[in-house]
Amino acid sequence: MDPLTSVPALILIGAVAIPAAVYLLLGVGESILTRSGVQRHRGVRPWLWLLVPLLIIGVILVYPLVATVIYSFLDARAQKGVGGQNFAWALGGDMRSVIGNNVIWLVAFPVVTLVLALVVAVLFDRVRYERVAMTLVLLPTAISFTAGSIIWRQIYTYGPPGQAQRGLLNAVWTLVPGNEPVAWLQTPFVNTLALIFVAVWSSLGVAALILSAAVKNVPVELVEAARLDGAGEWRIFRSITLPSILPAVLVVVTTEVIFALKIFDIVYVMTNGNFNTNTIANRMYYELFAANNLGHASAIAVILLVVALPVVLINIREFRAEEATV
Amino acid sequence: MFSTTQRAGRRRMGAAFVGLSAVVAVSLTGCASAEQSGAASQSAGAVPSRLDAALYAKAVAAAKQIAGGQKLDKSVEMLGVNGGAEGDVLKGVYKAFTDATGTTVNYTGTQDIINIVQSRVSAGNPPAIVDQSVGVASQYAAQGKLVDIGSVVGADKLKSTFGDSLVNGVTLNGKTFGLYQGFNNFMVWYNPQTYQGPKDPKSWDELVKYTDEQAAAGKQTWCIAEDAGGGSGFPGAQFIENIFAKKYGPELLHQWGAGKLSWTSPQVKDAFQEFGKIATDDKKVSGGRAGALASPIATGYNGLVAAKPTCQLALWGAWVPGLIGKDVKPTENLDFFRVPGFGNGKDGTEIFQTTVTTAFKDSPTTRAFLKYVASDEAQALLASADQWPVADLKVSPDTYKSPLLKKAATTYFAGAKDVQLSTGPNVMANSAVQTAFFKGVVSYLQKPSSLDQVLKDIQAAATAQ
Repeated sequence: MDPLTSVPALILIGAVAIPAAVYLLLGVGESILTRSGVQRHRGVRPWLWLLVPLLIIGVILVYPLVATVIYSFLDARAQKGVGGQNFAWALGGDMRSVIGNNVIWLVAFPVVTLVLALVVAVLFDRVRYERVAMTLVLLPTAISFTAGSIIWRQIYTYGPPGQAQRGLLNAVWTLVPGNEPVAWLQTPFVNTLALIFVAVWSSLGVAALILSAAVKNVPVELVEAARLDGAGEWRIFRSITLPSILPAVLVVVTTEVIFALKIFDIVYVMTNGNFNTNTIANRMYYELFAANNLGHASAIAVILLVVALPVVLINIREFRAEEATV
Repeated sequence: MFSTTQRAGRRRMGAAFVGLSAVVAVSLTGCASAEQSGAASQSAGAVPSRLDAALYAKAVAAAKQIAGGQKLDKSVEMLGVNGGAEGDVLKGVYKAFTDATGTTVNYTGTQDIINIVQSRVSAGNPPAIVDQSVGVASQYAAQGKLVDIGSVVGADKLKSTFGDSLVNGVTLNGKTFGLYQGFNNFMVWYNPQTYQGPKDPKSWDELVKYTDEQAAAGKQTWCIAEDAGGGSGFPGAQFIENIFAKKYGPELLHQWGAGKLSWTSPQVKDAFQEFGKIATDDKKVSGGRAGALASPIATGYNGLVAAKPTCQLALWGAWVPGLIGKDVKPTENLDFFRVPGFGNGKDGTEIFQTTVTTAFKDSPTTRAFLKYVASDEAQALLASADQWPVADLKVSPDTYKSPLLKKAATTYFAGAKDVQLSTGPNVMANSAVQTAFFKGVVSYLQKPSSLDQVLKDIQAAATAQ
């Protein structure tokens, strides 16, 4: 019986063998530590308990990272070195239009999500039905990006003029006399915006939740004092609310920027990169699985990592700062 | 650091934790096994819908004879491209094997099969059996990863079942790596109630002339649908290959498929341009170019038989009636004729679209299954589902219930004269070139003036392999 395809075997391994092995390791380690001196306990015990997580991180994070960096300097079959050719390819030629698409995502997606999340967070804070409204905004978050992409692909479906429109959007659009159906996913630039909208729809809930929590922490007395001084709502928002929630805003922006950098599933499901919607992650997938070019795919992965790393560090820093103020 | 009492307490907790995990795991295991065996026993012996009961019984008997009393594995894993209703048809055929031998065929259909199989092969854990395109399968055959089916089923049996040219198409270095199941040719579909053009055109130019006349009268003649998710563009690729086959013949088509004829050659460019004469003209295609690009393949040909038809002709595979579904009244509102040639002696060239059943793992179970799939009984059972024609020369056209599939089998297979089957890049090319080909068709339809760049890009993908 092949354990990798036997469900009972997999359950036994996952639910019994692995926990038992971890428990055994920690138990043996503790008894060794107990027999040694107290001083050694303090220094060694944290590393004993971190041993398993560090091993897992090493296997699933560090090893693939190092291997990918090495492959990015090798040819398609990872057999001989090609210097920086893969990086030159990844930054030139038809990759430029792909990078251009990611730039559109990097600008439009975070900005639109942030603006809408701010509107939701600030306005919903003032109504009695805030919980209901916030739940509605959060609902799309429960749907995976893939499932959401399939839903919106149906909604965007195009039928030639004069024929029945199976897509909801065109069905509504053509109710207006004189309107022709729009090929939402096939018209260049319009299709990228259509895809970005799906991402905004999916991500708005979490962004609104983060900002809503931050808005609720704005000192009430500051707002009241500003009102007493005659400040209008927009002035209050600009001068008091926004500066107070700036760390949360940065968390949202950096999270969405990271998402925009690695956007894949929405593009894959809805257009597969056709009609000038291709993105870097989709191209990486094509290079690895269709073109079988390990060098190209690894170069793209390394570039993504280098670009994303500073954003990730800012994100972590701001998230910790945000947690500290709560 | 910990007192004796604390250590004893921790030991009791640890033992309790392990005990609880074991109880949960064993319970889940029991439930999983019960579910798996329950699923098998519930449907054992029942004939799946759409399959002929008498043929089902014969397939079960054949599988029993093939297994010859051997003790086979409890299950065998199989990946293929067909899901939904098409996948259910295949599962029904494989169920006969299960009923005979007790081996469950765990079939999974997925459009992402190229990537899934590639990642599993790289991980050293390929599926036992895979139904995949010939070109992709030949990559694995070249690496020695596929079972030699000729040694399992017998070279003579393969040739008597499928014919020399088809067997040669899946043979590499003397080893046969694939078996055929569903097998589709291409034809021009039309609605006899609305189409007023030539019903048996002797040349492609007759159709082009008719299309031009209809366009001048303000009528769009062709249904072309290219939206197929990750595979968008493949119907257009097949259209182009059909034109190439009829104009340049089987040898050049094969060279093109094998990568020996450049994508930037005048012949390939000409085939694209012949396709473009129709497909890039908004007056000739239902919905124009935008309609062609945006129409999903599942519904894009319904216009042929709609109450208000939106087109009169479609060049595509034998699966069109199955896709259109219940609105089809065979020979009344849907019929077909062979794709006409160019009158240069190559009119008999016919391309086909199929996947082949291959095996990555050699075991008594996979061998028995392969022999079953290659058997005339299993092929006839598949034919009785009326989903696709089959390539088995011994399956009588009367096996099909649909008059259209009967006609297809007669026209292209059993006793057909003047049919020379050949394959091109749509079937033979590796995954990178196929993907580039399909995307190239989409780019060409989006911007016809970019044809030269499109062909260069496809050639670049071919050269990089």
